Amino acid sequence: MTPEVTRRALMLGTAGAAGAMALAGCSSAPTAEQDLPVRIHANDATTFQPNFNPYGGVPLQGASGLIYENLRLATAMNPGTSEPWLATDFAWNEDGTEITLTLRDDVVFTDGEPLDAEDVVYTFLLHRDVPAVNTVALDVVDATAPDPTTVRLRFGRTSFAQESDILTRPIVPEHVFSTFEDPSTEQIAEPMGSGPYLLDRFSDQLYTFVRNDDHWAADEFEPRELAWPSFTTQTMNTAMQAGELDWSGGFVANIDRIFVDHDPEHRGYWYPGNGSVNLTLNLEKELFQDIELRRGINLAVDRQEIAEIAYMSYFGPPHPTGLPRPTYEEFIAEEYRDLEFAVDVDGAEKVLDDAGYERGADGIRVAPDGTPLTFDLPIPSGYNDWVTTSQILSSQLSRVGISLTPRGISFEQWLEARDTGNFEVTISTAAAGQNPWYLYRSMLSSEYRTEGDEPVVANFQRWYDEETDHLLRRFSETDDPEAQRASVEALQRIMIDQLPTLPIITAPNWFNYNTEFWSGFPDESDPYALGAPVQNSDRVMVLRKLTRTTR
Amino acid sequence: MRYLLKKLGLYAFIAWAALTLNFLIPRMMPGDPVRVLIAGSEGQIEPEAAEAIAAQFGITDDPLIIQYGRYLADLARFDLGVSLSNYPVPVIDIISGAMPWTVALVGVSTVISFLLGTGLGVLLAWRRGTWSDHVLPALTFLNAIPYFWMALILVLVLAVTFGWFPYAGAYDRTMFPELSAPFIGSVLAHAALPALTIVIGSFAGWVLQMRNMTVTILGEDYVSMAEAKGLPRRSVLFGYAARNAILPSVTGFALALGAVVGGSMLTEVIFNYPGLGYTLFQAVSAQDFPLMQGLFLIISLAVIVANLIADGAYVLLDPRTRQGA
Repeated sequence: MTPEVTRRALMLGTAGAAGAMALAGCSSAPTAEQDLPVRIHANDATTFQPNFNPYGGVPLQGASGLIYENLRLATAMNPGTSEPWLATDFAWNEDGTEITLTLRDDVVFTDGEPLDAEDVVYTFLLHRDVPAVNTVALDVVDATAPDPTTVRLRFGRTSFAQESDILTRPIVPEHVFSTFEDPSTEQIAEPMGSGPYLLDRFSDQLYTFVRNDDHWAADEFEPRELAWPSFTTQTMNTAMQAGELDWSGGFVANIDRIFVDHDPEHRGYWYPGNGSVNLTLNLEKELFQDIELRRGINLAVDRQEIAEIAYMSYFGPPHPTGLPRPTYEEFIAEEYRDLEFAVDVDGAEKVLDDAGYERGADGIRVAPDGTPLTFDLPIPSGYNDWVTTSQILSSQLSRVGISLTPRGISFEQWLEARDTGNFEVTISTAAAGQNPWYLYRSMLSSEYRTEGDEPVVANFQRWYDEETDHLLRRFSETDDPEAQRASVEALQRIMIDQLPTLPIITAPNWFNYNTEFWSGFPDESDPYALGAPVQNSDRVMVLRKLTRTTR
Repeated sequence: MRYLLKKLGLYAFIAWAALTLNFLIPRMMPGDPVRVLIAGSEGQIEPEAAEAIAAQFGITDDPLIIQYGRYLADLARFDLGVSLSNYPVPVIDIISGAMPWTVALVGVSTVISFLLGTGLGVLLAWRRGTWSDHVLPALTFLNAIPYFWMALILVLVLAVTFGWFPYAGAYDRTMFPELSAPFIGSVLAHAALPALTIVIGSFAGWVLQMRNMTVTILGEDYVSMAEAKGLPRRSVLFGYAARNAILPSVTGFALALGAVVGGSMLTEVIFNYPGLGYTLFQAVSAQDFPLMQGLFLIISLAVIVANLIADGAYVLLDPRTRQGA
């Protein structure tokens, strides 16, 4: 990354802060062209309410990372590594309970106050003292600043696995936040941070950021202005078609016809995997504890067909390990590299026959204990892609004598069913997080187990297994990449041999771009970051790469 | 006077009932805003955050009666609470931001539709029995087509296919609000199509009501009397017939103005117009109880006040109600 920056700085014929001055002031006619804003769609809204507090509720996109900066830049596309940002360096102690960070000494908030170790200490103590701030569940015990550029953070448990969470927390100015009665309930309409951009203007349909030319990395950011217009998912399609957006997230049906075909030279999309959508069999029901039944269902599901029909082949079927590709491709064990889900209806029939699931008179199989294999599949009726998926699943499973009836219910009812375990079969999503541990933890860890009907927040199929827990713990308690790898590979073996949950779709990171005015977005040939403009660290990486498109 | 006092007492009771229902209904709905928020974030918010978010939102398990007491005390201070979907923005800020758009768009088009419809109604009544009767079936048709369907077709054809009108928002998304010709032009351009659909969708009702009423009254004895006296047709029509025929329309108009605050939810959703109706739609989809409550409160109060005004206007316009009291 660093050589790239240097090269561009050279191309501009400038270096350091002087570069920004030259860019902003001295150039003649073409500057008007360069002042074209990058138009970003990141909030699904018709009107904006002015709040940029990164630790308060539902802030508008952009402030985290661009105004309130991260310690390091980390992306799920490159798990386990990070680039220097506010922190030039960091080191863990042996048992992963203490991290020491070295900060830059030239960082200044836009009100002129310097950003030093005290601000970082303050930010992390907020995580300890104000539970509402701690949305990534860090177990901060103490934070100290031995000197203005050194910060020591102590955690109550081994926290290697949460390294990227720690490094991408937005750092806030102590001298502003300490005046708030409760920083987590404060509405911040005028954010003030240290980042490469400042809030320029705000209205209920548009806000703009302007480059902070005094920033230590200002010359790495070519766009002088960022515009964040308000569109909902409905109006976004039309705006994209009309070329009113350069950078957007979100699903667009028939994207080739609606978006790309209008200007194939500049327009494109890239949907790397960012999680796993699973056919979720409730393992608290005795029936589904039989692995042979799970195996039969697994063999009968045609993921390719789902990807083609429900997702218009935007991306391929998931990997049997559930690891999203290409994001976590490198973690897939050697032995599973070439493994793909294969449909095998005859195989499924045989597995089910052998396990004693006889076909009844109506063609529906009956379990050895007499229960017919007839299930409802509750899904939120507003999720069009899932509605299609469930219909496909229904017809695929009927071929092997399992009756699955899709039931579209309201989103709230579905959440209720999913979380309290009041279902037999449903569909659920697990997000990829920053490394495979996050994904497997949220799919398989029994730390989410609850008593009775208490709702769970993850692991919706309710897979409670000691070996899995042991492997997850082993991953989080080491920072040795080889040892972590071994844990992840063992977890993959559990996914494939024991089928705790059945991945059916890769959950994508929706990202659409238009390079008519700005180029340099990530894509499959240069996957340097995730593209959806909602990840605070990734969008800094993307913005740094953008340059005016030259014709 | 006693009549008005009695009415005021009745409306105070209705207002209290509305406030209480407004408190109860959202609490009886299924669902949990925290889980809706997390599930809707597509992995941006980690599930561990549930408790942290509930703490932020101030969601409590206090007994209902305590929550109710707190609710009334806050209302007395015009504190409608804090929105959950736009946490921590106060509800009153969101409502006051959305209100002007709705009042201007729906208010103006309701007035236009009323004036146009009533005028046309009188005209059609006057000219009954001529070619003008052929207009009636068309008006009945306009009155009967589902509003959302017509609006969707107009958006599709005029805004998306031909691009003559903008398809969303209250003004252009490259502009900031200011008192300048381009901005005002943009506001008008964005309001034109939604206003047009509201007028088309509602004026026929006024026409039919006014025409039928006027036709009935034109058959009354006192109208015949006026005609017999040799008064000019114009003054018979406006001074005798229309003046009496408009009474029910005035009540209807006052009620329509009350409903303006509720906004034409369909209009605003279809046109993505940032008014109260759209805000309500969003609040419901996000399970944003405080915002829903605030909106329902404003809407019910507006309707109650409009009813009160309608009652008052009736007393002024129609001497018979005064005697009855």
